[in-house]
Amino acid sequence: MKKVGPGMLIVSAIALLFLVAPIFVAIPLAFSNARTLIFPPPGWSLMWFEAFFKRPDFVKGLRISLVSATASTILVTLIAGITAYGVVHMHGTKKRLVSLLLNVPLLIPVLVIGIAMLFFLARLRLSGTLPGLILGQVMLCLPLVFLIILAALENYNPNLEDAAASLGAPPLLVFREAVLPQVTTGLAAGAALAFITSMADTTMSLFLRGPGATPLPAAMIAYMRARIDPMIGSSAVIFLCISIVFLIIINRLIGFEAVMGVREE
Amino acid sequence: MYLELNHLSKRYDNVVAIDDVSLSIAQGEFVTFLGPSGSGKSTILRMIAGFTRSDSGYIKLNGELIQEKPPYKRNLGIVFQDYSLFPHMTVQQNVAFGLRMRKVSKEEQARRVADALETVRLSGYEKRLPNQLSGGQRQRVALARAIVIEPLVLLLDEPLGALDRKLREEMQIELRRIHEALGVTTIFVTHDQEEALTMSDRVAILSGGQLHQMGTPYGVYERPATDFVADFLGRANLLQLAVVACEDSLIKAKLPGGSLISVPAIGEVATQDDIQVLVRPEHISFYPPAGDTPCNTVECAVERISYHGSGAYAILNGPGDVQLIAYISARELAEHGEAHQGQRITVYWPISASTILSRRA
Amino acid sequence: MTQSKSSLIKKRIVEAQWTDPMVLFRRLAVAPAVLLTVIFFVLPIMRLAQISFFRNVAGGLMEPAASLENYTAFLGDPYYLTTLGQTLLYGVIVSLLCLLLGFPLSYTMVRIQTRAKPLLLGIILYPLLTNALVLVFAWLVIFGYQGPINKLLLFLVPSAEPLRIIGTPTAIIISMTHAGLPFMVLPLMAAISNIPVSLEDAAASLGASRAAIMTQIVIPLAMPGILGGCLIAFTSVLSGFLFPLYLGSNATNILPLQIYEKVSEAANWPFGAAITFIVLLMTLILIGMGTLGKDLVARLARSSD
Ligand SMILES: Nc1ncnc2c1ncn2[C@@H]1O[C@H](COP(=O)(O)OP(=O)(O)OP(=O)(O)O)[C@@H](O)[C@H]1O
Ligand SMILES: [Mg+2]
Repeated sequence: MKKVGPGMLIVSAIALLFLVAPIFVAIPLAFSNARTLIFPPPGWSLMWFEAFFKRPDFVKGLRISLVSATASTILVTLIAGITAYGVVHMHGTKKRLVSLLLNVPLLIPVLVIGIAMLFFLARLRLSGTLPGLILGQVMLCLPLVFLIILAALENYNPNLEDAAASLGAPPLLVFREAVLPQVTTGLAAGAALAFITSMADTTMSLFLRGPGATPLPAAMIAYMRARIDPMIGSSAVIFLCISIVFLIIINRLIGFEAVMGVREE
Repeated sequence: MYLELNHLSKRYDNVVAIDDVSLSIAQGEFVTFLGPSGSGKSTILRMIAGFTRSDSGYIKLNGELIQEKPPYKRNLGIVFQDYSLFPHMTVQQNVAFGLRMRKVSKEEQARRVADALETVRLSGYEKRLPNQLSGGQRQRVALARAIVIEPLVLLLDEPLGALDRKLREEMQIELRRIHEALGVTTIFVTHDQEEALTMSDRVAILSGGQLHQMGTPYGVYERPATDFVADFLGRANLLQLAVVACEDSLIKAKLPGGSLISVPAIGEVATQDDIQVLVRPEHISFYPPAGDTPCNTVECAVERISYHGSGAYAILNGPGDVQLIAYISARELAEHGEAHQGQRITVYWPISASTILSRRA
Repeated sequence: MTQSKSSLIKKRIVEAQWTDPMVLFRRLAVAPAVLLTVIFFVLPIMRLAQISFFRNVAGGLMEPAASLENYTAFLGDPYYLTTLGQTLLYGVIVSLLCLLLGFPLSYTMVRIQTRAKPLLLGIILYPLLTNALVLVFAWLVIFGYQGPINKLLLFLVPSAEPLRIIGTPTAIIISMTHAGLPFMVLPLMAAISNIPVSLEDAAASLGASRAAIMTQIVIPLAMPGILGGCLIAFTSVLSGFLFPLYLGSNATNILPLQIYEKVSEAANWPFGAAITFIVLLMTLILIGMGTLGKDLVARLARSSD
């Protein structure tokens, strides 16, 4: 008997179609030659990409998004990596407490975190600045990336460190020879996830924006006040491409099952 | 026959899991599937249960083709290796599950569950959850859950694999007792040859997806059909011989070293053939058999003696680099005095204790 | 004698450990993340709570105070109470729709074996990992007057009036269900993948049909995942201000949109803070209910028949 019945399969197919539908609409629209959101587009052109790159606020926004995503990726990967390394060596209540504290933000609506961050950074005169935006995205990614790196460290063997040390390796060498090779995949996957999450972020980007830091989502929102045309589609395609590329990287590195905490059969 | 498997085959990608297996089982029989890991035992069981479809062949149960029946309509009782008890249900609920699915009335459910738990000697544990039971107790719940539905056939997939030795032996006896009490046709899967020989009416020996032999424990042990069976069941001396003469009931053959040996004739064997002959270590002795039993004799040198409590294995070097293993009982050993390495010795075995194996494919 | 000697050795080892850079590094490794979380997560939440008691002064300024007036204004105004009710309604509807689609999808994804699995998992994950504005844009196209739905409708019924979907609760619910579905699938797949297939085989051999296997075995055992998924899907509704902003209308009543407007547009931070804090409380209550729910389910399962 097949494990999955026909009813289940049909609903699953519907759900998957529902999930992909936006991609199949957003991408063609970006290549439309029409001025309105007519679908399917009457003809094809790259005019909206041209328009995108002719607008200084969009180009600058894209640059700021990329810069803040890169910066927060580096910071988060470093911090989460070091933390996961520390947690692997911890035991008992202490380990549970630290994991709990770092995971709690995952349960709180991102909007609440964003607003709280805005009020707090405003007090520090950091809201509306690039460092503030980066900090916001660091806090957004930290719990997720920590989880991924920790999951990738599941098979980490702390004994190798002692083995290397007992063979007379000095600490830095132990780190390079016994620790790094075991954690690089996890770190790379964590970094990819951090970058993708920062690029996907709208909450921090909208609430922590300012004259010094207007990331692409903020520029798009400002533009969308006046009109919504296929140029938004061209930004959408850029975002989608980044997501898809990094999704493929994550899948190659550790597989989606690991990201989702799903046991493979 | 009650249960018939006919020319079943199954392949996964490029692995042949089951290769043209046919066998039949009588009602009330206790049959064991024995074979090394990966030999296809579970796959056959899963085919009977209906979880796996065969690529070809068919299965008949009680005269009815059951190929197209989904598992839940087959009415078979199955005990899985990991027990597969429902973790969210109590012992009572686990055992009652099959009855509930059959819409049996509440009162009858209660009665039959109590009976089944009684049979596996687990009364009083009704309210426990599976994770509050020991391995042996879980095993019994799984068994009770399978027998309570009065299945046509009871399928047990290495049910004792996870138990320690003592519990295992207890459960072996228990399983036989339950089988006798209920008379249910039972297929038992194991890769432990001793377990297979002690428990079963008949044993089916599998390897690489093929059925090598099916027969009584005595038959498969003493008259194995293939060298695999001979080797898999206990220790075996497999002698490569060249036939020199064929008489009516006796074949004379030569060891590589030149010693002449007699073997009871079976099948078609001609002069010049190479044959393979099995002699079990326990048939080889340091003394000639009592009376005038005809026997073979070989001159050997003792290489090593390894003690096993109730006796010892003697590793012997015969003529022409033939190595023989003899099992010497403690009594014989005591009478003979300690044999030491390098000692020359004559060993004997009755002609009737040697068996020609079918030639290798 | 021996005891004092061994304790001395122990002390030396402890001392040595604190000077060994490797050990020191291990012990301090969690410090940056813990500090960061305390400073930039716990303190901001406290600041949020504090500001919710402040008073708004004209011109987008606020005056430190310890007044409950933001909360009384919220709770005393039928408009906001309706908004609260509407938000809960959206949350419940979206969670249920996510469960309806997500459970079969999760089960299929766990049990099915296909080469395309990474692709399908990618399709499930991407809405989480792509910019919400991309999705907003796509829904604007799909629901638009010249979008595929209306094109199809006009093709089937040439005389039909184009449907107005944007600005209706339907548009908001569909887009939020789409965004919430991955959140539902993640815990569900994790939970279902922990149910051994052999339990389903065992149930089938005992006479359970596919439907019975689902209701008796899979759903009860996946209950923690179901509750977790509903909780996170609900939470995603509380975060999603962009969908109602673009796909709703002036009549749309939903708290995240209120927060966005109060904080971003009306610049009434104290009131925005109070609403945000109410949303936070709702989340905490939901988490508490989810935890209680898990215990309750476990107890019910045991006491039933
Ligand atoms: N679902 C499957 N997919 C691919 N190959 C399979 C599958 N199930 C079984 N096999 C292969 O079929 C062969 C027989 O497997 P089976 O589980 O029947 O062996 P077994 O005799 O029960 O072994 P064990 O004693 O280890 O349980 C093995 O080579 C196994 O790898
Ligand atoms: Mg098996």
